[in-house]
Amino acid sequence: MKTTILIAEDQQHIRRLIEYKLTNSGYEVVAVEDGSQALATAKTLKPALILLDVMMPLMTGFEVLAALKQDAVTKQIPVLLVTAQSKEDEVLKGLEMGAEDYITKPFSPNELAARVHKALMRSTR
Amino acid sequence: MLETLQIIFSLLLETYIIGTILFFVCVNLTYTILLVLSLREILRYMRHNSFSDYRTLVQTELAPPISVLAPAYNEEPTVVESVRSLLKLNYGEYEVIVINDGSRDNTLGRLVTEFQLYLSKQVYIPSIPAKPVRGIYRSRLPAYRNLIVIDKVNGGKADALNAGINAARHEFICAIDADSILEEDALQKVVKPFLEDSRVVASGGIIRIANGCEIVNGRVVSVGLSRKMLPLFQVVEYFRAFLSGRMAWQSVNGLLIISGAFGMFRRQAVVDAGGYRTDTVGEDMELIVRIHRAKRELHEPYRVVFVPDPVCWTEAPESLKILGRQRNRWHRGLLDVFKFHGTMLLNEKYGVVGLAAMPYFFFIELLGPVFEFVGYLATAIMFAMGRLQVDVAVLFFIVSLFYGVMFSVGGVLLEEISFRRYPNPKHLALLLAMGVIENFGYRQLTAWWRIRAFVDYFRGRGDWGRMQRTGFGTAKTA
Amino acid sequence: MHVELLIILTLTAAATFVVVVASVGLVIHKAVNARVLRHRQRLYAHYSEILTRILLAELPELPPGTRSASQFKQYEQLLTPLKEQLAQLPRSRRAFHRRALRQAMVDFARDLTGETATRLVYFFYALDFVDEQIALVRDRRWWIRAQAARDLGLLRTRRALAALTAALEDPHPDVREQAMKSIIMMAGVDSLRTIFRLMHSLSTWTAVELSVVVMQYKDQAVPCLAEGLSAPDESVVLFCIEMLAEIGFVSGVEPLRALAENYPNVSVRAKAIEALGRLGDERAEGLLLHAAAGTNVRLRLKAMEALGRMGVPRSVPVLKRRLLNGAIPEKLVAARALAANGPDGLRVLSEVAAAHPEPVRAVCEQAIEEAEG
Repeated sequence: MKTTILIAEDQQHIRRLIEYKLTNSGYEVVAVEDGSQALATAKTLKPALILLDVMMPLMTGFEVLAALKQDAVTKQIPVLLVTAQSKEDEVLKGLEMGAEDYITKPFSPNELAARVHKALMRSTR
Repeated sequence: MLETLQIIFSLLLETYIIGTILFFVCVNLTYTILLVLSLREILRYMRHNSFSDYRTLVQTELAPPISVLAPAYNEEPTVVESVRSLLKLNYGEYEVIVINDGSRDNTLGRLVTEFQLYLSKQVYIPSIPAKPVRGIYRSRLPAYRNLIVIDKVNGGKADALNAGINAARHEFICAIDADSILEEDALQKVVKPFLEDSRVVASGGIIRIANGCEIVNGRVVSVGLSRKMLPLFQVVEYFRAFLSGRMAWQSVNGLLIISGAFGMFRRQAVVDAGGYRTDTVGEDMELIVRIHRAKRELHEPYRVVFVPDPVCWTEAPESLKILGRQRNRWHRGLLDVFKFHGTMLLNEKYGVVGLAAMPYFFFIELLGPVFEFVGYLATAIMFAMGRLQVDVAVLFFIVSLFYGVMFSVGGVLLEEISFRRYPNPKHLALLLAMGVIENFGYRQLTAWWRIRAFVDYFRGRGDWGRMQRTGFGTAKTA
Repeated sequence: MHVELLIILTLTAAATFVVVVASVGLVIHKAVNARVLRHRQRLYAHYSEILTRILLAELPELPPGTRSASQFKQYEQLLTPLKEQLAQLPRSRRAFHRRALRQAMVDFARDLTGETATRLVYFFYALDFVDEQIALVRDRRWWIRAQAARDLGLLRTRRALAALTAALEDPHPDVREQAMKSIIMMAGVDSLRTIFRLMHSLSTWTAVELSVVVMQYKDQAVPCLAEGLSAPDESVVLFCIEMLAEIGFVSGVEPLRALAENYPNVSVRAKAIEALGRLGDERAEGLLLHAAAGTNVRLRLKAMEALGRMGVPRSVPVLKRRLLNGAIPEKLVAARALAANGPDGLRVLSEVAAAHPEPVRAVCEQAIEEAEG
């Protein structure tokens, strides 16, 4: 069975790009466009990894992350945060809150795939 | 004998008719100019704004800190929620100063328990005279470090704001009504003009009607329209006043009103001007006029700007009685402005303010309803005497209606070409229809309220003090 | 009959008619526009999908050391179907399609780096967007100029550099700002030198925008910022001081000291003093102590704040003097600075509070409360 990854990103073109990249890398990808959907999907789908954009309407990535870490079902799922360019304090906040790793925009799709892969390796080990 | 009287009467009538027509032409010419100016200004603003990345303001240390001043009087049921939403604004460094203006209910108590306030030893320097402060409270919780609550002896809204200005620590102050609903990015939008141009001393945001919008946790989450007529009329009216009125005036630096529900100032400019006047019901407009006056007299460069972005929502009165009281108060405030600053009227020393903005407010906003009312009266008298040329009167009435429709619809159009906050074409159609309908009845009603204000103003001197004390309370119900 | 009135009536009727027709038209337009918008969104989605595919298409690995020309040949092959598609469209629709495509490319450029971004830039050149945009930097309408300047920057198209440098002196501030940001994005941190030389009277807003860009480079920007300290324009000097303090690079201390002592403008000196406090380097202590006891109020306040921030034990006597002798706002600053000096300062504060009446006592108490709470 393929590994499932959940993507939460509000910008359609970027969401599609990441989805395409990861699908090509051999993952099963589910993409949603806002925080509350991400949370709901994470609970039912129990993906192997979540890629979470920080700047999203309705519910920011941090709020989603906090909710994920409070829920016993989703607590174990590694989360990768996608943040705007080099905002150090945001990155630190995310890592403190239990994010596995972070990716800053602008990003390189190849690097993103590599990081996802690495994070998955770490969590299965 | 009788004949001479009749001749005199006809002469009077002739002059009156000519005067009316002249006035009418002037008024409509003015409105047309304002509409055109606004259109130009809004297009400029929209284009300019498309290059502004407001996120940078939240990211940088260079964004100036702001003090938000929220006066509260007998707001026990809503105060906690209002303050909570104020604390969640999207801006770097800002403090929220709530001024409890001697409430008779438990407004202060609710705040103290909810935010774990303690009596602070903060020094209070009364740079502007205000009623005594009983105590300054701060929160024990680190999350609410930027909350300050001032408890003071009751003195009305203006006095409360003055106390808040005294306690404010930052260079920019933002005066709001405790019950207005701010958009999350309101502070960024309204502080930006100050940063772009160091001459700016005050900036005001647009006020929108929240009736019919969906509000969750003190946020407007979806924009809609009320099903009731009265709020709908006001939506159109606000568009006309804000988008086609204030936008045009700010383009020539002749903006005389920044609404008390949301305005930002350079603190020093307000302190220099002596703060808000406490002996008027129109303190928001009076302050701006006073700033204009001071700056023009000193020949200092300055600007008062208007931000057309929707930043602040307010619940409009849905009953005739309360709306009537609100309009009555506004008009008495306007009368006060001319009582205090009448010398600026038609005075070339004050430039565009003295020669254009003040006359506009005097002849059109202040006296317009009177002229309108006298017109109806004269028509009735002439009709009774059989002197009325019915065809002319009907023509005149139709022409004035046409103009009324044009300007109301124009206001709605400005909204539609700029911000488009009403997503549904049906809403737009409804608003446009309202722009037509409001000329039959609603307009006359508001004119009547404003005339009543004259009566109240000149008769009710003794009434003044009482109005003053409870004025803030009535403002809240509005 | 009354001809004048009839004329007025006709004119107003005509004017109202125009407005009413315009508004009815607008309602219809809004509905139609929604369709056009949907169409545009569909196109946008269509082109971003195509772009996604060709941006992420796996290319055969080239042997190391091959010239970039062969890489470009690979890119060109990826692009061929898209080019053909566009060429088949009738002229009128082509412009519409190209706009959607350009928008999609600019949006991608915002969020992508690495080889993918290189590819995107190549596509932008190959589809003739670059020359089109460079021409628009000289358009008559300022908003078109500003947008062209912005888009060129997002795509990092170096060919546009000359046009953008010229745009630094554009009459419209928005164009200057976009050009400035684009140049830095494209030519990197060294272009700050050109910007500091050419730009003048930066508004706070421009400074805010510029600061976000500078903060991405942090230490690398320091040499340029240090040079900027001697820029002819005061607002540029102020900006450079602020940024040096923000980045916190200690080699900024010496030039800042020189500014704090000798610059003719007090605002600049005050800013330099503030920056020295933020840098917290002990070489500045003497200067700060001197300024805290000086005659200029503004410099005194800034110096005391700086001393408070750094926590300089030697400053206690000076601060105490200002606490006793200054006006109330100055007392407050002095008291806060004392409180920041740890147990020593706090002890002085409680002593002073005990020995003096209002307002000195109140000020001390507030400072103590703030330090403890």
